[in-house]
Amino acid sequence: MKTKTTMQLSSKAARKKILETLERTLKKTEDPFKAPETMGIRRAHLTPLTKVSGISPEQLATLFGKQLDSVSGSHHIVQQGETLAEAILEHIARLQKNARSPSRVQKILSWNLKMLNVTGLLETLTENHIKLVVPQDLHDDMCRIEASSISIGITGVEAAMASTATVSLSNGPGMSRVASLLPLHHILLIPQDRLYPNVEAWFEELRNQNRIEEVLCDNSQLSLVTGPSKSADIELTLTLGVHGPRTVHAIIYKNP
Amino acid sequence: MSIDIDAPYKSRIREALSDSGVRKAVDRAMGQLAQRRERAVNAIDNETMRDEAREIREHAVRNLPALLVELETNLIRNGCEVHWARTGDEANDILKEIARTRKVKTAIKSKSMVTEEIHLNTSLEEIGVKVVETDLGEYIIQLADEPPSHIVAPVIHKRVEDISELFQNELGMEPTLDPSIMCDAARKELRKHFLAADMGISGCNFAIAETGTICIITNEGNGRMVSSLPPVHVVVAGIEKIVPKVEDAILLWQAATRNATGQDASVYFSMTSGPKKSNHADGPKEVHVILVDNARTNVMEKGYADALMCIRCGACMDVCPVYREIGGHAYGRTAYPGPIGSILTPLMNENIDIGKDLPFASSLCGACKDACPVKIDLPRLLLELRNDLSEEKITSPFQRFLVKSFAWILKRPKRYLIATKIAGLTQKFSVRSTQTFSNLPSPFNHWTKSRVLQKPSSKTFKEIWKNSSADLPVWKTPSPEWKDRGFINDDETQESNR
Repeated sequence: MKTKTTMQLSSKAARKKILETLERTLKKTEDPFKAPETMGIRRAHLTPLTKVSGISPEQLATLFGKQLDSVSGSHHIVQQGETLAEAILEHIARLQKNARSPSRVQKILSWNLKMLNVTGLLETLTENHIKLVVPQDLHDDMCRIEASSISIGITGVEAAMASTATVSLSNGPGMSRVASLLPLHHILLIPQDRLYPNVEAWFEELRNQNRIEEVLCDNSQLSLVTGPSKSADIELTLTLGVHGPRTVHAIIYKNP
Repeated sequence: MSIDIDAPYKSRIREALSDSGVRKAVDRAMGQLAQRRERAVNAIDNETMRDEAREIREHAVRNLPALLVELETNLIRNGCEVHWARTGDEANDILKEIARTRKVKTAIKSKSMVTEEIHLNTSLEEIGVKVVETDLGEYIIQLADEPPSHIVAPVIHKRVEDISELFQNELGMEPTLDPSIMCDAARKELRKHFLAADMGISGCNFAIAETGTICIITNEGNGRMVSSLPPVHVVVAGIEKIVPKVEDAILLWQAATRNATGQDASVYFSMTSGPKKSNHADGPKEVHVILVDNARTNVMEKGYADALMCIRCGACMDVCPVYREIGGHAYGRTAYPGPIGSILTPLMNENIDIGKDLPFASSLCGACKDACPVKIDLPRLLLELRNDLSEEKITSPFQRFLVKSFAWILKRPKRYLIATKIAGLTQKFSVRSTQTFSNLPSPFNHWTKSRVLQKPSSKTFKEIWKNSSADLPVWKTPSPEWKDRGFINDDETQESNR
């Protein structure tokens, strides 16, 4: 207990000293910058980096898919007459077939079904003897062991940005981080109405709706994810799945 | 093989230049990175982005005290514990204390430059905590027991053969040169650590003051794992990492990834606002944020606040002709090589010997300034720093004498004319048939030891200009803009008008 107090005292002293030095230096008549450009003046709005021409939901879906493909992901846009559950099952079958050591998929690490909101998903998977696992507490050993043994994860998204194929994944009740992190394969379910032209457009909407704090702080972690995990550390050769998922497959569907 | 980074500056450079393998590897890799970067920045309105990024960073550095207090308030509101540290030692002590009270045995770490700065791994190992680097590049470096050589691509100096051999010895991997198989071996090994570690340590790319949010950029996903899986997450953040709003972080994130690796967006951008809530399935139970000064206030006090705007993208290294020749290790024992490192290292180290030569490791070509996404005028800062070092008499008396005499000659056109005439005559007598010099007498042999000097023309530029075609534009009066920019002074203008 005593050492903790010493640590707190020293931290408090450091805080005071750092802030004082900064204040003093910034208030000096001599500018601390050698090559000042803006003198601290800022414009009111930032320009979105990526421009998007067509903004109909269909156009955004096509663009998102194309961009995801270009960063080593893959995508499928659910067509009329096809159900979302079928599209998911079809992709699972493909993953099963392409696996290095083929074995039947028995479990999928998932978000809570209410969060996914896919009609008939549970029935279709049960018919095919696949169980959805929704982790409750990753700090529990049993839960951790089970979660880390599953090779496919399925999640929804908070928003999807077409220009860079970036999705924002939130972390909340029934929405685990690990479902999109631990498995080798990640399936993303994207309802068409969650598509935005670019990341700036989404944050602009949140800002206008006064929801920035809710989306960032209430969730404890918001992750922007663009394609599968990659590394180029070995002689700049692209390798996939070094820590996170090796494949990311987005299924874009019209909202029911 | 690698360079002895503790050797004196000149022998490091000599070693680097004589190692043609490393030179080739670094030059090739940097060429590729520069090309990718070029594509990514040309795909957008880069100048507007640079202007805006500059505004964000300059504003942040000019308002650091207020923003830091705002950040602290919001971090605490989100449930984080905030610590402040003036020095690397203080930061390490805080970390050790957290590790000790939580009985931490293994800590996993995602790539962070500030922890490299304060030698955090060594400090934690002292109290028996095993620290595992999880960025693939940093992991390789850790296995090989070497320091990183580039801030974005830390093993840029290693060939695939070296890494394969290392993995065979350390991880028992079967012989292969296939990077994807090597990656799998690392995935398997590191996954065990991710799941078992008691503590996650990360740096911080941006800290959003408005919401108390810590942002980490990674491509592999290790940043997201380090901040999600262990029960305790400790963030070590330099005090300059702050931005006011989330929109600023979003712009700088894209500026950083486009410039660092040429990607439109990094694979992961993890924005953490405090520990997990009780109804969440995962996330750390405790989040600590250590705000570290470690000589940043010093950099500002010395008048180099510009350097604190850096977002650590590494673009200045990728385009630097000097870095591409000598590689990162030749810059010595420092977390930051390349042009930005040549400014930060001498300013941040109390022991001036570590960095005093680095501001001279530049040709001042300006490629770094043109590349920098936050428009840091690196050549200017390097020049200012050379001047400061010379005023502090840290450079050798001979160097100071040379620079002073050169300045004296350059001050008057007539002196310059006479000097070039003398140089021309000297050369007529000293050089005979050859077109190049390779062994000048001392002290000039320092120059010719490592390079061959072209024989200068026997005529001066002015003489050639006079005799050249009359169609060429004639120099009349210097444009007033030149005068404004300080290229010429009034005496000279009058002299040339006469």
